[in-house]
Amino acid sequence: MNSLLEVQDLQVSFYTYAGEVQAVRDVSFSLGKGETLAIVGESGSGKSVTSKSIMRLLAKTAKIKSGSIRFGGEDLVALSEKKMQSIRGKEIAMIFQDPMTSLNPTMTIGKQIIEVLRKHRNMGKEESAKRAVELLDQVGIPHPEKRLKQYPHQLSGGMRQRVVIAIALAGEPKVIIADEPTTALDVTIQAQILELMKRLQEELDTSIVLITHDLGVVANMASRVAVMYAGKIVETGTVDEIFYESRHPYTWGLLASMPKLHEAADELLAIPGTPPDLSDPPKGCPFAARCPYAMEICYEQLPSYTEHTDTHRAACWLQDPRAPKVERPLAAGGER
Amino acid sequence: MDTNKNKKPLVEVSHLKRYFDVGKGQILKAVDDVSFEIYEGETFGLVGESGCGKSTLGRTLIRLYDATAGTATFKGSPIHGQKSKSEMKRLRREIQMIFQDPYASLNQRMTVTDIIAEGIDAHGLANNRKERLEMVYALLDTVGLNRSHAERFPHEFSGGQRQRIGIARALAVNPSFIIADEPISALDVSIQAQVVNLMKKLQRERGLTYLFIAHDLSMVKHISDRIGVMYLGGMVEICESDKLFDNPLHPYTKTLLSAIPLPDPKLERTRERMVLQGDLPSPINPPSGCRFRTRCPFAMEICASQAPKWQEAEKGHFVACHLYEGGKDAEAVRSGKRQGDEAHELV
Repeated sequence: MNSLLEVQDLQVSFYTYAGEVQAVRDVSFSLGKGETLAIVGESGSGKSVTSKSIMRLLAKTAKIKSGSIRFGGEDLVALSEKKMQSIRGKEIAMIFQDPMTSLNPTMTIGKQIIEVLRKHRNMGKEESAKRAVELLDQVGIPHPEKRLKQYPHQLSGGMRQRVVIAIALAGEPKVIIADEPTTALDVTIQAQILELMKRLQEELDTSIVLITHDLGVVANMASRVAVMYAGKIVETGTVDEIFYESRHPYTWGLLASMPKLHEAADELLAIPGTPPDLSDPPKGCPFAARCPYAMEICYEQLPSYTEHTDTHRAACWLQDPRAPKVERPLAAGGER
Repeated sequence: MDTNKNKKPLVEVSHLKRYFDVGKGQILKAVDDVSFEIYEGETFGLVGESGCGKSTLGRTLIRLYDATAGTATFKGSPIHGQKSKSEMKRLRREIQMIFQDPYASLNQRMTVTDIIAEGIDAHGLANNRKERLEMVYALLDTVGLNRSHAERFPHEFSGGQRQRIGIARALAVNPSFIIADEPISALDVSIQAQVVNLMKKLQRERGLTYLFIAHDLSMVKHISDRIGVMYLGGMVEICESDKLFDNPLHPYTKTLLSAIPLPDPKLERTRERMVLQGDLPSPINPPSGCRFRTRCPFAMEICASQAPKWQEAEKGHFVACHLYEGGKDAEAVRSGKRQGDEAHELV
C-alpha cells in the first residue's frame, strides 16, 4: 500500500520528578491514502501521546527519544518548529475530544475558521468568509451565515464538534487525527458526527487516524486497527481480523469485557488487575501480569511480532510454535 | 428475569416534579411529572442523554433536592416533606449513593478507613475503635481491596479501585437501596466490567435494590431488570430490559438503540441507522404537547397540541406516545410508517 504517513520505532518519554515515564515504547505503523486507522487502548496506553507526537504537540516534559515519523518525504521528528507550523493544520489537522475546550471561547466561530483559511490557504478577506460559509454548510450546520457571528457557548456540544471538524477541514489536510472525537457526546449526537466524518472522508479522500477506546466506534469507522497496551502496539490488523480473528489475549479481553446488546450473559469477562506502571515497565510482556495464559517466558522476555497475514500481526508468546495451543474465548467474537 | 407479580415496590414515585428557578422568571423543568416504581431486589436502569433529568431524578430520590411537586415514597413513607430527626437518619441510612467521578467524590485528605467509616461513625454503628476497623476490613474484603490499603489516601489508587472505595463507603451503613449515578462512565472498558460484576455480586449476596443511572445502554441492559427511558425531563418508556431491546415502542427509544455502534464490523457495514436530526430542545421552554415531536420522524398533528398519556401498551411495558393511543390517525400512521420502518428494523 502507498503509505502517506509512516511511524517507525517511536519512543516517547515523560520526564517527571518521579523519574522517566516511558509512555510510548517502539510504536510503528503506517497510514495509507483514504483509509481510517483506529488506535484503540485504555487510558495510559499511549494512544494520545502517539497522536500528539505526530502533531509535535507534546508537553514540555515529554521528549521523542527515538524513531521517525515520515510524512511527504520528510521526518517530522527532525523538522524545525517553523516548518512544523506549515504542516500542522494544513497537511495534518486534528480533532480533539472536548469541543468546549478546543475552541476559543472569546472568538467567534467565523473568525476561528477564517484564521486557518488566511494562514494556510492564503485567502483574502472576502474569499475566506465565503469559504467559511461553505465549510459550515458542508459539516451540516444550518444557517451558516448566522452561525459565523456566534460564539462557541451559543452552540450545543454536537454543533461545536461540527465546527471543530470544519476548522480541521479548512486547511484541506491529507491526514486528520481524531482523538476521541465523540467521547464527550451523547449516542444520538455521536451517530450524527460519525456519519458526517464518514461522508466527508468519502468526498475528500482524506486519511484518518482515529484514537478511541470505544470498540463500537472502531467497528463503525475503521478499516485497520492497532491495539495499544502499556505504550506498545500489541496487535494490528484489518478491522475484520481484529474483531473476528484476534490473536492477542489483551484484544480478547477487551472484546469480551464489552456487554453484548443482543445476548444475555450473567457475568462479564473482566480483565483482572490494572495496567503496569510505565515508570518501571516490566521487562517481559507488559500484559503478562493480567494474562490468564501467561507462561514463564512472558515475564522474562518481550515477545516479537508474529505475522499471520500481510496486514495482521500480534506480539504474543502464544504465537510461538513451541507454546501450547490456546483457543480464542467465544466471548471475544469470531467463528471457529 | 422474575416477574414483578409477587414483588412489592420499595420506591414509589408519583407525578414527581423538580423545577429549578434559573432567574429572569424562567423555570427549568428538569424532572416533569414522572411516575414509576422500583421493586425490592431489582435493578432499575435509568437512561437518557445529558440534560434529560436522570441525575436530577436520582438526586431528588435521595433528598439532595426537594420535590417541587408530586410524591416519592420509600418503604411506604414519603421521602420529602417534614420529617423528625430519627426518621431522617433512618432514611439516610437506608438510601445510599455511588457517584460518577471517583476522583471528585472521595475526600483527598482522608484515609480510606476514615472515608469508609464516616457513615459508621455518623450512625454510631461501631461500639469501639477495634470494631470500627473490623467493619472497614470486612468492607474492603467485600469490594475486593486489600486490608493494607486501609491507611492509604485516595490519590494512591487507580480509578477502578477508587470506585470500589466509593462502593464500600455506600455499603458501610447497610443500605437497602443504592442510587448509582453513572458509576462506571469514568472507567476504562476492562475496569467497567470488574465494577459491574462486583455490583451484581453484592446485589445477589445482600438483596440490594439499585437505581442504575447511565447513558451507556449496553451496560444498562446488562445490569438492569427493568429500564426507564427519559427524554427532556419526562419518562417516555418503561419496560423489562430484554423486551425494551427486542421491541422498543417509543420512537425515541428506537433512535437511541439504533445509534449505539456495536463492536461487530460486519453488522455495522450493513446496518441501517435511524439518525436523529437536530439537537435537544431547551428544557426551559420545551415543545408543546409531546416533548419529542420536534425530532420525531412519526410526529402527527395531535403531538403538538396534546401531551401523550402514560399507558400500559403491553403487560409491564409502559409508553407515552400518541402512536399507541389507538386513535384512527395513529393506527394509520403506525401501520404505514411501520411498513416503511422494516428497512430500519433494529438489528
